[in-house]
Amino acid sequence: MSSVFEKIGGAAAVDAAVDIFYRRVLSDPLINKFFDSVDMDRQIGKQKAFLTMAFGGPNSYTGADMRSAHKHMKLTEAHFSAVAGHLQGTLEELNVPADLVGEVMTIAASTHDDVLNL
Amino acid sequence: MPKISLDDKQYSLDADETVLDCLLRNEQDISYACRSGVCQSCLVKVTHGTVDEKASAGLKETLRADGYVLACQCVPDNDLTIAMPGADAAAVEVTILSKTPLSSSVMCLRLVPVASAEFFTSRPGQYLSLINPAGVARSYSIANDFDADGFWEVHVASTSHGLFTQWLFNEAAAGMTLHVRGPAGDCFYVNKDNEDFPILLVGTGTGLAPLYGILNTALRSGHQGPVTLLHGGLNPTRLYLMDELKQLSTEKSGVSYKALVLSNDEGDGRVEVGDLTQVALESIRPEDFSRQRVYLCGAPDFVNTMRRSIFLKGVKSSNIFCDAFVTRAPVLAA
Repeated sequence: MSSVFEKIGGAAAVDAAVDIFYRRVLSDPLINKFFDSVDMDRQIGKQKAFLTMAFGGPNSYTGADMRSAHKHMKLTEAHFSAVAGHLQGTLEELNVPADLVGEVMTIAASTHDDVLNL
Repeated sequence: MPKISLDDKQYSLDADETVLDCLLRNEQDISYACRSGVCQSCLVKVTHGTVDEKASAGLKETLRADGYVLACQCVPDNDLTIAMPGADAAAVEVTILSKTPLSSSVMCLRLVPVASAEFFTSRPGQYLSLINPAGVARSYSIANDFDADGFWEVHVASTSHGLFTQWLFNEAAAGMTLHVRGPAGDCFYVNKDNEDFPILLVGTGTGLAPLYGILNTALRSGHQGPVTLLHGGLNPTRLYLMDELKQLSTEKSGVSYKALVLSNDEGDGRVEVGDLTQVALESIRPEDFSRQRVYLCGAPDFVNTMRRSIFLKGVKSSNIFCDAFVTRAPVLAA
């Protein structure tokens, strides 16, 4: 039984998705301030780490990391939905089969409470 | 708190303090400029103790293996013994071959390694750290192909307050010796599969130096795709090499060149008044998004804003190469 990460195409899928995803969040006025830093290389690195995690790939995120990383951003439900929407939109743009999109969105949803520090 | 040992003296680090800040706080003489891990002016050698990988990020493998780190990026959690790189350690001795003005404010400096020097390979578009006889180090981009010419060429803009440029403009002369460390940077021409992708080169000020080097490398390698060079400045006096580049663009098919300024009171016929960012964005065709290469060099604000706009327009992030000329951070008056 192969993992979601393998089925979706592994690191190559992350590389294909990162530009589309990052372009989407940077173009969204509701959330772009959280992603717009001078150091674009570092931001893209962070987005790759996030996508790898959401795709069920190898990552070292813990719930505590998620909490502390987002703690001071005063995030709301709307911010979380916006990012989730862009993740889904990215996968659809890449013609990822619906069942795999569903699996990725389930992983992303599992971070909800930690990201919003609930 | 951990301590730094340097030349038999010890300095105690404050919480989260970098090695650079600690040394400066203790009035130690250390060369530095960008404080962002970019310019590599603050190279120090760690002889005892361990440091985070971040402290040597971007350094050449050979320097890393030798224990070199960037003092501005180094926040140690254990005691360190460090040494300043002597002007001749990890650096190549060079002689000034020539010093020629390219405009009223830009100097072309050509450097040759002394006969016995063992030196590194470099690519046009990378940058070198130049160290003057007083030990002041600054980074400059390579404008030519050393392998073809046998010398390095850099373009230096005069600044009223720069320690290095003051020395260079007022005191340096052909035949003088200085030291060069390098190279660093990933802003250079690469095309290992001989593709004919379009190349867009955009720069301000002496950002032209690396772009000029990249342009000539591409042409020398027989690049088949179109190459567009856009050089921008406030007014015509800020631009240089205009005649050479105009001529190159008429001689070589596939090469286009535009000199863009915000105002042209002098009525200089070689330049166009226009917005560099706008012209650059409009020159990229949507059908080229997946293979277009873009090189951006010059003022950091310009490079960072431009990079974002070009990425948002649709160019792949991995195909945008940048060299932001980070300048010396303002220092508090003593």
